[in-house]
Amino acid sequence: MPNSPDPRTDEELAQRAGHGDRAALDALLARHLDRIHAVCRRVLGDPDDALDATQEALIAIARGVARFDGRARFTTWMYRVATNAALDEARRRRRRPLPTALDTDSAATADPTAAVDARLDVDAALAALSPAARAAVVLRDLAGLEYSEIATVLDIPIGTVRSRIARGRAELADRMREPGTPSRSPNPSDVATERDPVTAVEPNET
Amino acid sequence: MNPTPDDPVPTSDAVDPLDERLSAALDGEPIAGAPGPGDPALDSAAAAARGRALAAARDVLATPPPPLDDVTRRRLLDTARAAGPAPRRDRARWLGPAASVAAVLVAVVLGGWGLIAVLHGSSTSSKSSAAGQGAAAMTTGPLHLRSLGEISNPARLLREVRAELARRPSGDRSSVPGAACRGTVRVPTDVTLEVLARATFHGAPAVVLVGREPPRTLVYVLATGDCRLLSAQFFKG
Repeated sequence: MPNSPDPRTDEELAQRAGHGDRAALDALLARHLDRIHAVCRRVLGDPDDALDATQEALIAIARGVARFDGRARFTTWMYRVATNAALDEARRRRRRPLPTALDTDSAATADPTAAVDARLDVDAALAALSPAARAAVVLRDLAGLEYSEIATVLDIPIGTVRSRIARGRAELADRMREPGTPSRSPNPSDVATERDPVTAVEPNET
Repeated sequence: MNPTPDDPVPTSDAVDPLDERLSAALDGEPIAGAPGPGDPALDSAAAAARGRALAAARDVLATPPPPLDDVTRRRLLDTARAAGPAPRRDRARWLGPAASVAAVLVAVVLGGWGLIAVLHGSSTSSKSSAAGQGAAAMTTGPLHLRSLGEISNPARLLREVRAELARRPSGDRSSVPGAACRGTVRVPTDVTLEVLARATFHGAPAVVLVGREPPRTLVYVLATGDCRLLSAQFFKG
């Protein structure tokens, strides 16, 4: 494993990996592991589920890189694989309690520099959204994808991307609000607590 | 992504229109046809405050989760690498016929040996015949391993392993074919691997090892001949 970063672009590495270059595949996977894990972690909200999804995504990339045709950016394709792995994992996992939502009083610290509290806020806020909505806001704010890329990754219209991102941010903003600040009334249809995907579903064979 | 019957009930994408406009503006993705800067609704003090709240939320959402430790990183990458792409298929295509030739040779040798034993046995006493039956019983001693079939597909591997774990017969697995491969897999010290079943991986004969690392079950698929790691997976349960 070289110490210096591989200077080749993702697309160059992907092309070589697709032709059986193991070193190129290794470099590609190592380069993007943290990004893939971050997306899975935020979409799923659970560290163990995130590891499972990350593993599935890495394997899918390793096996499918030969099919990457270079028409889109490699990262767009990669995030699509990672997001699908996370959403598949969300469908598979058994029903279990969602991360404990911070109550209004304890969540009222408006100090975004408190890293631990911020992380809790993120998971709690995202847990109130459906995984698909989580994916949109995570792909934008954590992965930095453009709206059009997110639309491609999630296979949804840009308008839906825009509304899901706004809803995710609004959910978190309301949780971070200072004491005494009136919150927006929640849209009951946005509260995903009772219908989060927890049906155990085996992955489809391909 | 097509919905499946197991998808959750779709949630509404309805969102406060002001939130949507402010959020899109933060990203430089204005909504076509919607009022832009200069619109009283956007320029009000309340809208400005809401815009700052959404921007703060965006910044918090950009906070990366805790990083992976080196051991976990290595394991994830090693497993993906082991599951990796095309070259193995080429090798598997070569291994398939080779394994068939080897199987035929073994059958010929064992068949000849058996023929000699039968011919020799016909001229021996009933005492030696009884001893021969005892020897035959001993040779069937090791547990018979079921074959899981072709398990290169992870979903099938998962399903077959779970099913086999549920119905596997008890017995001594220390001397079954493939048991020697247990020592070639690096696992945490508190994990004991055992041979679960036989299988084929892209056509090549393989052995499936499992080990418990609560709450996970580790699954390794190794080539029967040289104990080469073909796949490493884990699942909860």
